[in-house]
Amino acid sequence: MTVNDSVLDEQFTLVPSDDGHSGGDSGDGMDETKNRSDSDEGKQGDHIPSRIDDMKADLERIFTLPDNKDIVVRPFTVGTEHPWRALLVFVDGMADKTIINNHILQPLMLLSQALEEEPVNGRMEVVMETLLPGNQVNRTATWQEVVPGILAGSTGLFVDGCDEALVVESKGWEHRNVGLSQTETVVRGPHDAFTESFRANTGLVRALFRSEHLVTEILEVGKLAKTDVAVMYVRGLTNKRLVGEIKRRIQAVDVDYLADSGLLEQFLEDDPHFLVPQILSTERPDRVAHMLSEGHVAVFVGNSPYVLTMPVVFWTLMHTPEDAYLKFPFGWFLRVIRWSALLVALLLPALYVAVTNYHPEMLPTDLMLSIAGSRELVPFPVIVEILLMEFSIELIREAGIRVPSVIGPTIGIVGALIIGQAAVQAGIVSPMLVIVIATTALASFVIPTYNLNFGIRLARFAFLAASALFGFYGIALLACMILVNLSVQRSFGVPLLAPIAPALRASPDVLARGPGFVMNERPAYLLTQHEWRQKPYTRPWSPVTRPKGVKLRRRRETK
Amino acid sequence: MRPVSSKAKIGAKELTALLTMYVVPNAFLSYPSAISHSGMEAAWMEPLLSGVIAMVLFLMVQTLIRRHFKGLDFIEIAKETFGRAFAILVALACAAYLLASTASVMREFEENVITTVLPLTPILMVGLLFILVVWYMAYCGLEGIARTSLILLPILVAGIVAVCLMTVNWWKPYLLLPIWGAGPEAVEAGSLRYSSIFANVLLVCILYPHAKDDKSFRRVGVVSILLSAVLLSGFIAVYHMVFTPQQANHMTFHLYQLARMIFLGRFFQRMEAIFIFLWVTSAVVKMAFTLWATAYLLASAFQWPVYRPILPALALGCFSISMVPTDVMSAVQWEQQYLLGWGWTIVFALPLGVVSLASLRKRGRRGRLRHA
Repeated sequence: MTVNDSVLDEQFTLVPSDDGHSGGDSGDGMDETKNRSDSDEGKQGDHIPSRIDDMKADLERIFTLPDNKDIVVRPFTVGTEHPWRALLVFVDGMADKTIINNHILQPLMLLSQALEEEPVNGRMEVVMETLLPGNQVNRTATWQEVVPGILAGSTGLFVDGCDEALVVESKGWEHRNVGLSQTETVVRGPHDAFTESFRANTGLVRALFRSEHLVTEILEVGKLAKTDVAVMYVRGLTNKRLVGEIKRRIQAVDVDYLADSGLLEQFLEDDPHFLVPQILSTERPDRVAHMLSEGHVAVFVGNSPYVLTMPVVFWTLMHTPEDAYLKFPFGWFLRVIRWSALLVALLLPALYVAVTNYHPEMLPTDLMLSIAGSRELVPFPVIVEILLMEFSIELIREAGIRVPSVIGPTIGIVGALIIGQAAVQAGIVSPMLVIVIATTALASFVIPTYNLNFGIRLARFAFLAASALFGFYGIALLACMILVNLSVQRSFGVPLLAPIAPALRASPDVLARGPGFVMNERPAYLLTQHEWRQKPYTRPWSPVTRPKGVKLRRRRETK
Repeated sequence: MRPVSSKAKIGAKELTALLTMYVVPNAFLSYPSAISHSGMEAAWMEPLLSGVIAMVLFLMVQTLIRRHFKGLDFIEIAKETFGRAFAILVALACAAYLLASTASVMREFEENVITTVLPLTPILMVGLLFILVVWYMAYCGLEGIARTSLILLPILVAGIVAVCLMTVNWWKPYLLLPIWGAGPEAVEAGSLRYSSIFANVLLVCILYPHAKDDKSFRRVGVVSILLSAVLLSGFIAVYHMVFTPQQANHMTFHLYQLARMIFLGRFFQRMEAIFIFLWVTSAVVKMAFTLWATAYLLASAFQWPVYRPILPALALGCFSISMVPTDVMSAVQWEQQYLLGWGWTIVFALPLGVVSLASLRKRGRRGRLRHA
């Protein structure tokens, strides 16, 4: 009995139990599946038999053949003068048929006519070394190693008389090509994004970060169906304990199936209940490459187009790669805009409620009269008015994502009509509030991290409630609570507000963005093996940026 | 839960911010009234003189602890030298002072909230919210409080500087004359009497083992005292350029009164509501720190493994004590008479006495061992 059996036992015996749903067709089906799975798993632990008929029988049990139409078993003979019986097994749709026809079947069937009569135990040797031109061929003796390979798109080759199999790399399922970034677009910088292909994704990063120190370790998660999880880091740079901790957490994930990186994120985070993400998920290879160079660790999950990078600090969630690609005054300006947007997205509706309900004296008289005039016909209190509008905005946002693309523009028209015109004309909301809500919505779209955006949206409602009940006093108290909560949160042991609180050394890339040529040190909170990223002065030829007291070497030499 | 024995380590900047955030909110409490009464026009000198006194005492205590009791807090020193019973007495005295101080701050801020922001809200509700947030912050621990202080300190400093500068059109520098106000003796007496707002000497005894870097602790104390003294003194000076000391004596909420004066044209006026953030956040940090310190001292004295379970009881006690004064004037009087007037006994005398005696005793023991 293998480890997998226990998992299947849990899966298939726990479901139909006390609540009376057991029995009937579904129950029988489960039992049948369980029994079959038990025997299959048991077989997988065994060695591959040497007789081809036994192999075929085992394969039929393991893959539920002939019911399972995805699995193709192709019997053939190797050579013609002294033919050896053989089997080829692959998953239809996952393996590349061109590779199978031209690089496996053709050499084995057509180019092997002059085969000498080999001793039976030497056949596999001959096939592997002279007949298979594939670039990745693994020789294995157990079903446990062959079956996952076949399920991952490789082709299994079995030869009569050999108690071994060859797993020939032939992955070739259909997937989306590398395309444009959808959620992290930039004007300046690369536009490519990860796609639904595990190896294409790791390759995209490796193409950017061409270092022999870049290591990709692959783990498997899932007991019913396995998902590859790659842990990528720079050996000799990244903190070894960090890598160990990440691998420990991944290996501790105990699920039957891991569908996406978003799920793994929830398993790995220090505190998954907290609104602010503690892991950064990105679809940009350049961002992953940059973070690897800083000493972070990247985790690729199966064919998910989002890669996780960790640990992350709060400030990183407000950065975009473009900040670094632009000249630093522009990057700095973008950061100022973005931080302002964060405050607006979080607080503007709450401040509006607080000012209109509790502190109208702070408004200049003209503005106060204007607001009062615009609210004259509105029958609701401000908080009801603002909640109605917030709800409408959330509806439009959600509908905009779910609506079929062919009728997508309709949402814009409907939303604009409802919010911009009809609501005001009907006297349900005041025009001033429309401006407040629209500005808040715009500001929330400026936040570059999707998960943080969600957190801000939820926190906004909490601030709204606090301001409706207690004005600025409530907002200030809630801000204190959130701040202290943020300050004790950690991402893989790194305080979420580092390097500001606690104050640690870092290059000028936290709140604002400094010039690229002064980003000399890696963040101290990562405890990397090498603290310096580049020399303290990277433009020695330039009198403009050369630090005081540093002279050009050439000058010293002439002296 | 983090056991008391495994002490959180705090960096120098966080500690500086924390100690500063503890002292500076006195600008929003009755301290300006008290020193206006004693120093009159020269009240702005009193924070500076008090700062000098506090700094001398701080340096003495810090030197003694560093030489003889590295890595130990105040209670552990008392326990090691004079026994557990004495340590418990010391801890109870300090805890009582800190609790009373938290309650007093709380009552004054509650009154300020009711007077200025939420006139129709019952004081119980205002206090309940306050104490819940303070409890939560103390529950998050010293790390959380110190990091929050580090983030809020620049906002506090910027806010105080902004209030001062935005009232520039009301400044009447001649109101600071005569330069010695009520006379040098009165200024000295006031500085001594109200120096307990610089509780750094007591706090250093509590925080010493929590410092990440032992060497920089001296700098932490000096910088925090200097920064607090300069900010308080600057604020009082500006305040007295706008209001006379006689007016100041009759006011309770000085920052608010100053902020109300802001009038920079038709648009920028009556901005006192914005500064609510300033005084509420700094009050919460100050109270959370004292609540944490109270719980920590008790846990240390009674050898409890954790301090968190006592927090709800302390918070409730603090809330109840804050409701004892019948009105705001009683609360202010209570604070000025007992906490500010006699606070130096707990804040300065007790730690200095305990640490000095313990050092002498330790030195004596060493000497005896050497001769033996």
